[in-house]
Amino acid sequence: MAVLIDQVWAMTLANLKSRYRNTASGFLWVILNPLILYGVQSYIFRTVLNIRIQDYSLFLLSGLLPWIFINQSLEMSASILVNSGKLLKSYPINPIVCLLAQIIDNTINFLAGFLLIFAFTILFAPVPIGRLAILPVPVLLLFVSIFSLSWLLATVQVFFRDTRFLLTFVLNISFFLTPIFYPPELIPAEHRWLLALNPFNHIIAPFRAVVHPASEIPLLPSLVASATLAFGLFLVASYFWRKTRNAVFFNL
Amino acid sequence: MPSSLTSNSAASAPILEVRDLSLTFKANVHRHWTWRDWFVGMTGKRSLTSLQAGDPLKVLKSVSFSVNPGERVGILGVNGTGKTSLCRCIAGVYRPSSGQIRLQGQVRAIFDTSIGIYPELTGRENARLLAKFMYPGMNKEHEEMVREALEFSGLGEFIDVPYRLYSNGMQARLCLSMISCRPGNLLILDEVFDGADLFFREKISGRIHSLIEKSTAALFVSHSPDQIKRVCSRVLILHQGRVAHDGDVADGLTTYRELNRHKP
Repeated sequence: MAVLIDQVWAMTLANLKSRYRNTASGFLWVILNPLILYGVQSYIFRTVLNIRIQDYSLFLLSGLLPWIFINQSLEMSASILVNSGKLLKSYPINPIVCLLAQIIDNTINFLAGFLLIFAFTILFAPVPIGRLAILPVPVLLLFVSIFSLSWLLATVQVFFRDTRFLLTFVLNISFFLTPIFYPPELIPAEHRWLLALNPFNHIIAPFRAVVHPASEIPLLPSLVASATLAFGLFLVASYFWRKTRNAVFFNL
Repeated sequence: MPSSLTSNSAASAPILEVRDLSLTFKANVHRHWTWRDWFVGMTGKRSLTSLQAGDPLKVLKSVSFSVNPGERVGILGVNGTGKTSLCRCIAGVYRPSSGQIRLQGQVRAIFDTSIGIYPELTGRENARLLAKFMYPGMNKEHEEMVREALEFSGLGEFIDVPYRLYSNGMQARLCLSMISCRPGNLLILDEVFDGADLFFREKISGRIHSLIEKSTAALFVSHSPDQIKRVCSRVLILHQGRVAHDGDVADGLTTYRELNRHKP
């Protein structure tokens, strides 16, 4: 286990190094995307479309930043086994190490962007300190869910080489079906069952419960639903990996 | 568990024992599918069950052999006879369908020398990462290993140049220098000399011979009978997933030629 952690950390650092090119501006470049996306969407929905939600900056932050992390991580990880095929077949590298390094790298970028905007936003819309202490829990659940989903998708991509394109399509639809920039109350009551089936909604809800108290999302049930999803996805991904491991290497 | 990997420190026992090893891939795994194909199949006449169609692909069939300390065993066979699959089973990449692999200590395997872990990073940075994966749990020695391997590689000022700019030969120099910088219990080299130039091949052969002398054994996979003759003390001929010969190199090469005489 210690060896695995050591290898994951070494690969994460190499990932960061290759992405940031050892410069502060490299790091800034990576987090510019979420910052700009947040700024533009905040302006469009609050000012142009006139969506009226108390503390909309916090509302959008708690939905959009986790969504950007989900989107980027799944898109980047789906092809990781296929793209690293030659590498994985040449050296004794556990594929999970590559996958974990990629997700940790994205988590660092996500946390940097999230905390940067949060620190600025909180000046205008204070959040109870007690709630903030719980923030690491939704972050952990987000990490486990997205790691598991990435693991599953990366494995499926080996057998169905257009999974990544299908994923982009599903993510584009999911952005509109998930209450990221609008509150769930805007969805007609007869269609709200869709939310229960939407995994991204369960992953994002605990963030909203912690960061945007005005949403009045019950914290504990949202954490339980998110934890159940994360655990379930992990079980499915690890079972599928165990069943297909040889076939994956054979098809790489 | 169909296979087991055990470890003990008895010096006189074989380093590697392979017993009745078989490797079979399930029916549909050697097909390339896309969701589009699947959708067209579902909406057309083919059903979902066609995904399970096809015969199992038997790559290795009841392979048995053992390797003793100090032995250099060559593995020879035409393409598709299961040489690389056998080595990947021993290295722990593939899980055998049945049979046993008993290994004393650690196996160090390399299957391709033309690839860096991070092509954008320099040769030195890639060497540091390779040390983590090739020599796990030896963190204190990694810096010394990297320094020594880079010096041996003779890459000079190219050490701090991005790996993606290396020629195949330069990449082979770096990888082979890294894999041979510490003796292991079992070294697996799968057609890895091919990328290196003649002079470095001579240099690395000497270094690997010296590693084997330090109570290490090695498995060499090669298509070159000359190379097998030069490097190996024993040869294993694989034919259609089975061991066709295990023993003397000269006899093995005769068997190899006999088996493949009628092939184009």
